[in-house]
Amino acid sequence: MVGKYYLKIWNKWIQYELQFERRISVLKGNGGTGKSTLIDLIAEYLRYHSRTGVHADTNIKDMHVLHYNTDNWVSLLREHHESVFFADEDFPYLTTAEFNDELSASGSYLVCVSRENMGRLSYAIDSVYYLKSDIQGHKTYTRMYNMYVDEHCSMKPVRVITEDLKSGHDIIEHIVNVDVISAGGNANVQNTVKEHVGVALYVIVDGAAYGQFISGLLAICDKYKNIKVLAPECFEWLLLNSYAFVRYLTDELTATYKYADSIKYGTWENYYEDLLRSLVQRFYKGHYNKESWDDLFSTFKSRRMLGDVRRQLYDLDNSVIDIRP
Amino acid sequence: MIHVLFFKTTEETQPNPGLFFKNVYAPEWFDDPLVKRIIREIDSSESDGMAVLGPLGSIGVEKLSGTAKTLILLLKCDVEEYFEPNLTWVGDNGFQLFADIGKEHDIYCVLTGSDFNMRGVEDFDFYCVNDKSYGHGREDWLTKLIEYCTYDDMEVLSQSVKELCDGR
Repeated sequence: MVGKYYLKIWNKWIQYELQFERRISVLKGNGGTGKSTLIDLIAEYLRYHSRTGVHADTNIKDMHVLHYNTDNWVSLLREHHESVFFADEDFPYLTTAEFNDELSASGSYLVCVSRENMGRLSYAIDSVYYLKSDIQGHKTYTRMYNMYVDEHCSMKPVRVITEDLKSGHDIIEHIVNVDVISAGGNANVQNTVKEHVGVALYVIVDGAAYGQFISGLLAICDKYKNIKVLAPECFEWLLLNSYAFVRYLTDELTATYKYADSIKYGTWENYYEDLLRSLVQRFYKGHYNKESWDDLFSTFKSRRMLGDVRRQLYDLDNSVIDIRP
Repeated sequence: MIHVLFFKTTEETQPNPGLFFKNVYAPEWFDDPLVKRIIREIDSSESDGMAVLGPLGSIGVEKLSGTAKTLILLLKCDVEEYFEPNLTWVGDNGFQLFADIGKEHDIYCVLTGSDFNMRGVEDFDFYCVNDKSYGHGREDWLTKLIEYCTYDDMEVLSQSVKELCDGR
Protein backbone atom coordinates (compact mmCIF):
# COMPACT_ATOMS: atom_id res chain seq x y z
CA MET A 1 0.00 0.00 0.00
CA VAL A 2 1.38 3.38 -0.98
CA GLY A 3 -0.02 6.89 -0.97
CA LYS A 4 -0.99 9.94 0.94
CA TYR A 5 -4.48 9.79 2.41
CA TYR A 6 -6.87 12.44 3.56
CA LEU A 7 -10.02 12.21 5.58
CA LYS A 8 -12.48 15.02 6.15
CA ILE A 9 -15.30 13.89 8.43
CA TRP A 10 -17.99 16.00 10.03
CA ASN A 11 -21.37 16.24 11.66
CA LYS A 12 -23.38 19.28 12.65
CA TRP A 13 -21.05 20.19 15.52
CA ILE A 14 -17.56 19.17 14.62
CA GLN A 15 -15.35 18.66 11.61
CA TYR A 16 -12.00 16.90 11.39
CA GLU A 17 -9.41 17.14 8.66
CA LEU A 18 -6.64 14.56 8.70
CA GLN A 19 -3.84 13.73 6.31
CA PHE A 20 -1.22 11.02 6.67
CA GLU A 21 1.35 9.48 4.37
CA ARG A 22 3.24 6.88 6.39
CA ARG A 23 2.27 3.40 7.55
CA ILE A 24 1.79 4.38 11.18
CA SER A 25 0.55 7.69 12.58
CA VAL A 26 0.08 8.38 16.29
CA LEU A 27 -2.21 10.97 17.89
CA LYS A 28 -1.31 12.14 21.39
CA GLY A 29 -0.99 15.37 23.36
CA ASN A 30 -3.60 17.17 25.38
CA GLY A 31 -6.81 15.60 26.63
CA GLY A 32 -10.14 17.00 25.49
CA THR A 33 -8.99 17.65 21.92
CA GLY A 34 -11.46 15.16 20.46
CA LYS A 35 -9.30 12.14 19.69
CA SER A 36 -11.85 9.60 20.91
CA THR A 37 -14.71 11.64 19.43
CA LEU A 38 -12.93 11.36 16.08
CA ILE A 39 -12.70 7.57 16.34
CA ASP A 40 -16.38 7.38 17.41
CA LEU A 41 -17.38 9.55 14.46
CA ILE A 42 -15.53 7.30 12.03
CA ALA A 43 -17.19 4.22 13.58
CA GLU A 44 -20.63 5.80 13.25
CA TYR A 45 -19.95 6.78 9.64
CA LEU A 46 -18.75 3.28 8.78
CA ARG A 47 -21.90 1.74 10.22
CA TYR A 48 -24.58 3.62 8.28
CA HIS A 49 -22.63 6.23 6.33
CA SER A 50 -24.44 9.56 5.88
CA ARG A 51 -27.68 8.20 7.38
CA THR A 52 -26.11 8.74 10.82
CA GLY A 53 -25.71 12.46 10.14
CA VAL A 54 -21.96 11.96 9.79
CA HIS A 55 -20.46 12.87 6.44
CA ALA A 56 -17.04 12.15 5.02
CA ASP A 57 -14.85 13.08 2.11
CA THR A 58 -11.84 10.82 1.70
CA ASN A 59 -9.61 8.97 -0.74
CA ILE A 60 -9.38 6.00 1.65
CA LYS A 61 -11.03 3.03 -0.03
CA ASP A 62 -11.44 0.88 3.04
CA MET A 63 -11.23 1.82 6.71
CA HIS A 64 -11.93 0.16 10.04
CA VAL A 65 -12.07 1.12 13.69
CA LEU A 66 -10.38 -0.79 16.50
CA HIS A 67 -11.98 -0.37 19.93
CA TYR A 68 -11.69 -2.22 23.23
CA ASN A 69 -14.39 -4.63 22.06
CA THR A 70 -13.07 -5.31 18.55
CA ASP A 71 -12.48 -8.98 19.21
CA ASN A 72 -12.07 -9.89 15.54
CA TRP A 73 -9.09 -7.56 14.93
CA VAL A 74 -6.84 -10.42 13.80
CA SER A 75 -9.20 -11.48 11.03
CA LEU A 76 -9.83 -7.85 10.07
CA LEU A 77 -6.10 -7.29 9.59
CA ARG A 78 -5.70 -10.54 7.71
CA GLU A 79 -8.59 -9.85 5.36
CA HIS A 80 -7.87 -6.19 4.60
CA HIS A 81 -4.53 -5.30 3.07
CA GLU A 82 -5.17 -1.91 1.52
CA SER A 83 -6.97 -0.38 4.46
CA VAL A 84 -6.57 2.26 7.09
CA PHE A 85 -7.18 1.13 10.69
CA PHE A 86 -8.09 3.73 13.29
CA ALA A 87 -7.39 2.53 16.84
CA ASP A 88 -8.61 4.33 19.95
CA GLU A 89 -6.53 4.29 23.11
CA ASP A 90 -8.85 1.72 24.68
CA PHE A 91 -7.81 -0.87 22.06
CA PRO A 92 -5.72 -3.10 24.34
CA TYR A 93 -3.47 -4.85 21.82
CA LEU A 94 -1.45 -1.96 20.40
CA THR A 95 1.69 -2.81 22.36
CA THR A 96 1.55 -6.56 21.81
CA ALA A 97 3.86 -8.58 19.57
CA GLU A 98 0.87 -10.25 17.95
CA PHE A 99 -0.63 -6.94 16.84
CA ASN A 100 2.70 -5.74 15.44
CA ASP A 101 3.12 -8.99 13.49
CA GLU A 102 -0.40 -8.89 12.08
CA LEU A 103 -0.14 -5.22 11.12
CA SER A 104 3.20 -5.75 9.40
CA ALA A 105 1.85 -8.71 7.46
CA SER A 106 -1.28 -6.80 6.52
CA GLY A 107 0.56 -3.81 5.05
CA SER A 108 -2.38 -1.61 6.03
CA TYR A 109 -1.97 1.84 7.51
CA LEU A 110 -2.62 2.49 11.20
CA VAL A 111 -3.74 5.74 12.84
CA CYS A 112 -3.78 5.22 16.60
CA VAL A 113 -4.45 7.21 19.73
CA SER A 114 -1.91 6.29 22.39
CA ARG A 115 0.51 7.76 24.89
CA GLU A 116 2.00 4.36 25.75
CA ASN A 117 5.63 3.45 25.05
CA MET A 118 5.13 1.29 21.97
CA GLY A 119 8.59 -0.14 21.41
CA ARG A 120 7.37 -2.75 18.96
CA LEU A 121 5.68 -0.40 16.52
CA SER A 122 8.25 1.42 14.45
CA TYR A 123 7.17 4.87 13.26
CA ALA A 124 8.61 8.24 12.31
CA ILE A 125 9.06 11.26 14.54
CA ASP A 126 7.12 13.13 11.84
CA SER A 127 4.22 10.69 12.27
CA VAL A 128 3.41 11.86 15.79
CA TYR A 129 0.60 14.40 15.80
CA TYR A 130 -1.68 16.31 18.10
CA LEU A 131 -5.12 17.71 17.37
CA LYS A 132 -6.01 21.35 17.68
CA SER A 133 -9.42 22.95 17.29
CA ASP A 134 -10.82 26.30 16.22
CA ILE A 135 -14.38 27.19 17.12
CA GLN A 136 -16.28 29.11 14.48
CA GLY A 137 -19.85 29.88 15.44
CA HIS A 138 -21.40 26.66 16.72
CA LYS A 139 -18.95 24.41 14.95
CA THR A 140 -15.52 23.11 15.96
CA TYR A 141 -12.91 22.60 13.24
CA THR A 142 -10.11 20.23 14.21
CA ARG A 143 -6.87 19.57 12.35
CA MET A 144 -3.75 17.53 13.07
CA TYR A 145 -0.29 19.06 13.56
CA ASN A 146 3.16 17.59 14.01
CA MET A 147 3.96 17.08 17.68
CA TYR A 148 7.70 17.51 17.22
CA VAL A 149 9.10 20.49 15.41
CA ASP A 150 12.47 21.87 14.43
CA GLU A 151 14.00 24.43 16.72
CA HIS A 152 16.98 26.65 16.11
CA CYS A 153 20.09 25.66 18.01
CA SER A 154 23.63 26.97 18.04
CA MET A 155 25.20 24.72 20.66
CA LYS A 156 28.70 23.42 19.93
CA PRO A 157 28.90 19.73 20.84
CA VAL A 158 31.95 18.10 22.33
CA ARG A 159 30.61 14.64 21.63
CA VAL A 160 28.24 13.11 19.07
CA ILE A 161 26.21 9.95 19.58
CA THR A 162 24.92 8.21 16.48
CA GLU A 163 22.13 5.69 16.50
CA ASP A 164 23.86 3.86 13.66
CA LEU A 165 26.65 1.39 13.97
CA LYS A 166 29.36 0.95 11.34
CA SER A 167 28.65 2.91 8.11
CA GLY A 168 26.37 5.47 9.72
CA HIS A 169 28.82 6.01 12.54
CA ASP A 170 31.93 5.99 10.33
CA ILE A 171 30.79 8.67 7.93
CA ILE A 172 29.85 11.02 10.78
CA GLU A 173 33.28 10.38 12.28
CA HIS A 174 34.81 11.46 8.95
CA ILE A 175 33.07 14.82 8.91
CA VAL A 176 32.97 16.09 12.48
CA ASN A 177 36.02 16.85 14.58
CA VAL A 178 34.71 15.65 17.93
CA ASP A 179 34.30 12.21 19.53
CA VAL A 180 31.65 10.09 17.83
CA ILE A 181 30.11 7.21 19.73
CA SER A 182 27.76 4.62 18.29
CA ALA A 183 24.72 3.55 20.31
CA GLY A 184 24.41 0.40 18.21
CA GLY A 185 20.74 0.72 17.36
CA ASN A 186 17.74 2.91 18.14
CA ALA A 187 16.72 0.97 21.25
CA ASN A 188 20.13 1.66 22.83
CA VAL A 189 20.29 5.40 22.22
CA GLN A 190 18.80 6.46 25.55
CA ASN A 191 21.09 4.25 27.62
CA THR A 192 24.13 5.49 25.67
CA VAL A 193 23.06 9.12 26.15
CA LYS A 194 22.64 8.51 29.90
CA GLU A 195 26.27 7.35 30.05
CA HIS A 196 27.52 10.58 28.49
CA VAL A 197 25.46 13.32 30.12
CA GLY A 198 27.53 16.16 31.50
CA VAL A 199 29.13 17.29 28.23
CA ALA A 200 27.47 19.04 25.30
CA LEU A 201 25.99 16.22 23.23
CA TYR A 202 24.48 15.94 19.77
CA VAL A 203 22.41 12.81 19.30
CA ILE A 204 21.79 11.76 15.70
CA VAL A 205 18.85 9.39 15.26
CA ASP A 206 17.01 8.07 12.22
CA GLY A 207 13.85 10.17 12.29
CA ALA A 208 12.02 7.78 9.97
CA ALA A 209 11.97 5.08 12.66
CA TYR A 210 12.45 6.86 15.98
CA GLY A 211 8.95 8.12 16.80
CA GLN A 212 8.39 5.36 19.35
CA PHE A 213 11.45 6.47 21.35
CA ILE A 214 11.50 10.23 20.94
CA SER A 215 9.51 11.23 24.04
CA GLY A 216 11.84 9.20 26.28
CA LEU A 217 14.90 10.80 24.70
CA LEU A 218 13.40 14.28 25.04
CA ALA A 219 12.77 13.60 28.73
CA ILE A 220 16.54 13.14 29.10
CA CYS A 221 17.13 16.33 27.08
CA ASP A 222 14.70 18.11 29.41
CA LYS A 223 16.64 17.08 32.49
CA TYR A 224 20.14 17.65 31.10
CA LYS A 225 19.91 20.84 29.12
CA ASN A 226 23.01 20.38 26.98
CA ILE A 227 21.72 17.55 24.78
CA LYS A 228 20.32 18.21 21.32
CA VAL A 229 18.69 15.79 18.91
CA LEU A 230 19.25 15.79 15.15
CA ALA A 231 16.82 13.62 13.25
CA PRO A 232 17.37 13.25 9.50
CA GLU A 233 15.15 10.57 7.99
CA CYS A 234 18.10 8.16 8.19
CA PHE A 235 21.75 7.82 7.26
CA GLU A 236 20.91 6.52 3.77
CA TRP A 237 18.67 9.57 3.20
CA LEU A 238 21.67 11.82 3.86
CA LEU A 239 23.67 9.94 1.23
CA LEU A 240 20.79 9.95 -1.26
CA ASN A 241 20.62 13.73 -0.94
CA SER A 242 24.24 14.07 -2.01
CA TYR A 243 25.10 14.96 -5.61
CA ALA A 244 26.28 11.42 -6.38
CA PHE A 245 22.72 10.13 -6.10
CA VAL A 246 20.22 12.95 -6.10
CA ARG A 247 20.87 13.59 -9.80
CA TYR A 248 19.41 10.17 -10.59
CA LEU A 249 16.24 10.75 -8.61
CA THR A 250 12.97 12.49 -9.38
CA ASP A 251 10.69 12.86 -6.35
CA GLU A 252 11.63 9.74 -4.38
CA LEU A 253 12.94 11.85 -1.49
CA THR A 254 10.24 14.52 -1.48
CA ALA A 255 7.22 12.31 -2.17
CA THR A 256 8.36 9.03 -0.65
CA TYR A 257 4.76 8.04 0.08
CA LYS A 258 4.37 7.26 -3.63
CA TYR A 259 7.08 4.60 -3.51
CA ALA A 260 7.50 3.13 -0.02
CA ASP A 261 5.08 0.21 -0.19
CA SER A 262 4.00 -0.55 3.37
CA ILE A 263 3.79 -4.28 2.73
CA LYS A 264 7.50 -4.29 1.88
CA TYR A 265 8.87 -1.45 3.99
CA GLY A 266 8.00 -1.12 7.67
CA THR A 267 9.36 2.43 7.67
CA TRP A 268 10.78 4.79 5.07
CA GLU A 269 14.23 4.01 6.43
CA ASN A 270 13.95 0.54 4.89
CA TYR A 271 12.90 2.06 1.58
CA TYR A 272 15.81 4.55 1.50
CA GLU A 273 18.24 1.74 2.26
CA ASP A 274 16.89 -0.30 -0.64
CA LEU A 275 16.91 2.72 -2.97
CA LEU A 276 20.53 3.54 -2.13
CA ARG A 277 21.57 -0.06 -2.67
CA SER A 278 19.94 -0.18 -6.08
CA LEU A 279 21.44 3.17 -7.21
CA VAL A 280 24.95 2.19 -6.15
CA GLN A 281 24.60 -1.05 -8.04
CA ARG A 282 23.01 0.46 -11.15
CA PHE A 283 25.08 3.60 -11.67
CA TYR A 284 28.35 2.80 -9.95
CA LYS A 285 28.58 -0.97 -10.30
CA GLY A 286 29.37 -1.14 -6.60
CA HIS A 287 27.74 -2.42 -3.46
CA TYR A 288 26.24 -0.50 -0.61
CA ASN A 289 26.92 -2.32 2.59
CA LYS A 290 25.41 -1.02 5.80
CA GLU A 291 28.11 -2.88 7.67
CA SER A 292 31.04 -1.06 6.11
CA TRP A 293 31.48 2.42 4.72
CA ASP A 294 34.83 1.47 3.12
CA ASP A 295 33.25 -0.19 0.06
CA LEU A 296 31.11 2.80 -0.78
CA PHE A 297 33.88 5.28 -0.10
CA SER A 298 36.33 3.44 -2.34
CA THR A 299 33.68 3.33 -5.08
CA PHE A 300 33.50 7.11 -5.21
CA LYS A 301 37.02 8.06 -4.18
CA SER A 302 35.55 11.49 -3.79
CA ARG A 303 35.31 13.94 -0.96
CA ARG A 304 32.32 15.60 -2.58
CA MET A 305 29.89 13.19 -0.99
CA LEU A 306 31.37 13.84 2.43
CA GLY A 307 31.01 17.55 1.78
CA ASP A 308 27.37 17.09 0.77
CA VAL A 309 26.59 15.10 3.91
CA ARG A 310 28.46 17.63 6.04
CA ARG A 311 26.40 20.45 4.52
CA GLN A 312 23.15 18.60 5.30
CA LEU A 313 24.22 17.99 8.87
CA TYR A 314 25.09 21.66 9.14
CA ASP A 315 21.56 22.51 7.97
CA LEU A 316 20.13 20.07 10.50
CA ASP A 317 22.37 21.60 13.15
CA ASN A 318 20.19 24.65 12.91
CA SER A 319 17.01 22.67 13.41
CA VAL A 320 17.18 20.29 16.33
CA ILE A 321 14.07 18.45 17.39
CA ASP A 322 11.92 19.68 20.24
CA ILE A 323 8.39 19.20 21.41
CA ARG A 324 5.91 21.77 20.22
CA PRO A 325 5.09 24.07 23.15
CA MET B 1 0.18 11.98 48.08
CA ILE B 2 0.85 10.60 44.61
CA HIS B 3 2.06 6.99 44.69
CA VAL B 4 3.38 5.89 41.30
CA LEU B 5 4.89 2.72 39.89
CA PHE B 6 7.05 3.53 36.86
CA PHE B 7 7.06 1.27 33.79
CA LYS B 8 5.38 -1.69 35.42
CA THR B 9 1.71 -2.48 35.88
CA THR B 10 -0.19 -4.59 38.38
CA GLU B 11 -3.11 -6.98 38.15
CA GLU B 12 -5.23 -4.17 39.59
CA THR B 13 -4.29 -1.55 36.99
CA GLN B 14 -7.47 -0.32 35.35
CA PRO B 15 -7.40 -1.31 31.66
CA ASN B 16 -10.16 1.06 30.57
CA PRO B 17 -10.93 4.09 32.77
CA GLY B 18 -13.65 5.23 30.36
CA LEU B 19 -15.61 2.03 30.81
CA PHE B 20 -14.98 2.03 34.56
CA PHE B 21 -16.21 5.63 34.81
CA LYS B 22 -19.46 4.76 33.05
CA ASN B 23 -20.19 2.08 35.64
CA VAL B 24 -19.20 3.81 38.88
CA TYR B 25 -19.81 7.55 38.64
CA ALA B 26 -22.26 9.21 41.02
CA PRO B 27 -24.36 12.30 40.23
CA GLU B 28 -23.12 14.20 43.28
CA TRP B 29 -19.53 14.07 42.00
CA PHE B 30 -20.37 16.84 39.56
CA ASP B 31 -21.20 19.34 42.31
CA ASP B 32 -17.58 19.22 43.49
CA PRO B 33 -15.72 22.44 42.55
CA LEU B 34 -12.58 20.48 41.61
CA VAL B 35 -14.58 18.22 39.28
CA LYS B 36 -16.06 21.34 37.68
CA ARG B 37 -12.53 22.70 37.29
CA ILE B 38 -11.36 19.45 35.63
CA ILE B 39 -14.22 19.62 33.15
CA ARG B 40 -13.56 23.31 32.48
CA GLU B 41 -9.79 23.05 32.05
CA ILE B 42 -9.61 19.78 30.14
CA ASP B 43 -12.81 19.71 28.09
CA SER B 44 -13.44 23.47 27.88
CA SER B 45 -16.93 22.82 29.17
CA GLU B 46 -19.14 23.79 32.09
CA SER B 47 -20.93 21.14 34.11
CA ASP B 48 -24.40 21.64 35.44
CA GLY B 49 -25.20 18.52 37.38
CA MET B 50 -24.74 15.61 35.00
CA ALA B 51 -25.08 17.71 31.88
CA VAL B 52 -21.99 19.24 30.36
CA LEU B 53 -22.18 22.21 28.06
CA GLY B 54 -19.21 22.70 25.79
CA PRO B 55 -18.08 23.23 22.22
CA LEU B 56 -20.03 20.16 21.08
CA GLY B 57 -23.27 21.37 22.67
CA SER B 58 -24.84 19.64 25.63
CA ILE B 59 -23.44 16.18 26.33
CA GLY B 60 -23.73 13.60 29.09
CA VAL B 61 -20.81 13.10 31.45
CA GLU B 62 -20.11 9.76 29.80
CA LYS B 63 -18.86 11.71 26.78
CA LEU B 64 -16.16 13.52 28.73
CA SER B 65 -12.59 13.00 27.52
CA GLY B 66 -10.45 10.13 28.78
CA THR B 67 -8.22 12.63 30.57
CA ALA B 68 -11.15 14.24 32.41
CA LYS B 69 -12.68 10.89 33.38
CA THR B 70 -9.36 9.58 34.70
CA LEU B 71 -8.74 12.69 36.80
CA ILE B 72 -12.28 12.65 38.18
CA LEU B 73 -11.89 8.98 39.13
CA LEU B 74 -8.56 9.72 40.83
CA LEU B 75 -10.31 12.38 42.85
CA LYS B 76 -13.49 10.50 43.69
CA CYS B 77 -12.67 6.81 44.00
CA ASP B 78 -11.92 5.47 47.44
CA VAL B 79 -10.93 2.19 49.04
CA GLU B 80 -14.30 0.69 48.16
CA GLU B 81 -13.88 1.45 44.46
CA TYR B 82 -10.12 1.12 44.14
CA PHE B 83 -8.89 2.92 41.04
CA GLU B 84 -5.34 2.46 39.83
CA PRO B 85 -5.01 4.05 36.39
CA ASN B 86 -2.18 4.10 33.93
CA LEU B 87 -1.25 7.78 33.59
CA THR B 88 -0.97 7.34 29.83
CA TRP B 89 -4.71 8.07 29.89
CA VAL B 90 -3.98 11.61 31.03
CA GLY B 91 -2.96 14.23 28.47
CA ASP B 92 -0.36 16.95 28.89
CA ASN B 93 -2.97 19.50 30.00
CA GLY B 94 -3.83 17.27 32.97
CA PHE B 95 -0.41 17.49 34.71
CA GLN B 96 -1.28 20.42 37.00
CA LEU B 97 -4.66 18.96 37.97
CA PHE B 98 -3.02 15.61 38.66
CA ALA B 99 -0.53 17.32 40.99
CA ASP B 100 -3.31 19.28 42.69
CA ILE B 101 -5.40 16.16 43.29
CA GLY B 102 -2.32 14.45 44.76
CA LYS B 103 -1.93 17.24 47.30
CA GLU B 104 -5.35 16.53 48.78
CA HIS B 105 -5.78 12.79 48.28
CA ASP B 106 -3.83 9.56 48.31
CA ILE B 107 -3.72 8.39 44.72
CA TYR B 108 -2.22 5.19 43.36
CA CYS B 109 -1.19 4.85 39.73
CA VAL B 110 1.24 3.35 37.22
CA LEU B 111 2.97 4.98 34.26
CA THR B 112 4.08 3.15 31.11
CA GLY B 113 4.59 6.08 28.72
CA SER B 114 7.33 8.71 28.54
CA ASP B 115 5.02 11.58 27.56
CA PHE B 116 3.83 12.11 31.13
CA ASN B 117 6.76 14.39 31.98
CA MET B 118 4.97 16.92 34.25
CA ARG B 119 6.10 19.79 32.02
CA GLY B 120 5.18 23.11 33.59
CA VAL B 121 4.51 21.70 37.08
CA GLU B 122 7.06 22.10 39.86
CA ASP B 123 5.41 21.99 43.27
CA PHE B 124 4.31 18.44 44.00
CA ASP B 125 5.42 15.45 46.05
CA PHE B 126 5.32 11.82 45.04
CA TYR B 127 6.30 8.40 46.27
CA CYS B 128 8.15 6.17 43.78
CA VAL B 129 7.01 2.61 44.42
CA ASN B 130 9.88 1.10 42.38
CA ASP B 131 12.61 2.10 44.83
CA LYS B 132 10.46 3.17 47.78
CA SER B 133 11.71 6.75 47.67
CA TYR B 134 10.05 10.14 47.98
CA GLY B 135 10.50 12.84 45.35
CA HIS B 136 9.62 16.46 44.98
CA GLY B 137 9.01 18.41 41.81
CA ARG B 138 9.62 17.85 38.13
CA GLU B 139 13.37 17.29 38.38
CA ASP B 140 12.85 14.26 40.63
CA TRP B 141 9.95 13.05 38.47
CA LEU B 142 12.14 13.16 35.32
CA THR B 143 14.91 11.34 37.17
CA LYS B 144 12.60 8.40 37.91
CA LEU B 145 10.98 8.53 34.46
CA ILE B 146 14.41 8.29 32.81
CA GLU B 147 15.72 5.66 35.23
CA TYR B 148 12.86 3.22 34.80
CA CYS B 149 11.87 3.99 31.18
CA THR B 150 11.62 0.86 29.06
CA TYR B 151 10.13 -0.11 25.71
CA ASP B 152 10.04 -3.84 26.43
CA ASP B 153 7.05 -5.72 27.79
CA MET B 154 6.07 -4.22 31.12
CA GLU B 155 6.25 -6.51 34.13
CA VAL B 156 2.84 -7.15 35.73
CA LEU B 157 2.95 -7.33 39.53
CA SER B 158 0.43 -9.36 41.49
CA GLN B 159 0.06 -6.79 44.28
CA SER B 160 -1.70 -3.50 43.65
CA VAL B 161 0.17 -0.21 43.97
CA LYS B 162 -1.72 0.45 47.21
CA GLU B 163 -0.72 -2.92 48.64
CA LEU B 164 2.89 -2.27 47.65
CA CYS B 165 2.71 1.07 49.46
CA ASP B 166 1.01 -0.39 52.52
CA GLY B 167 3.95 -2.74 52.90
CA ARG B 168 6.55 0.03 52.78
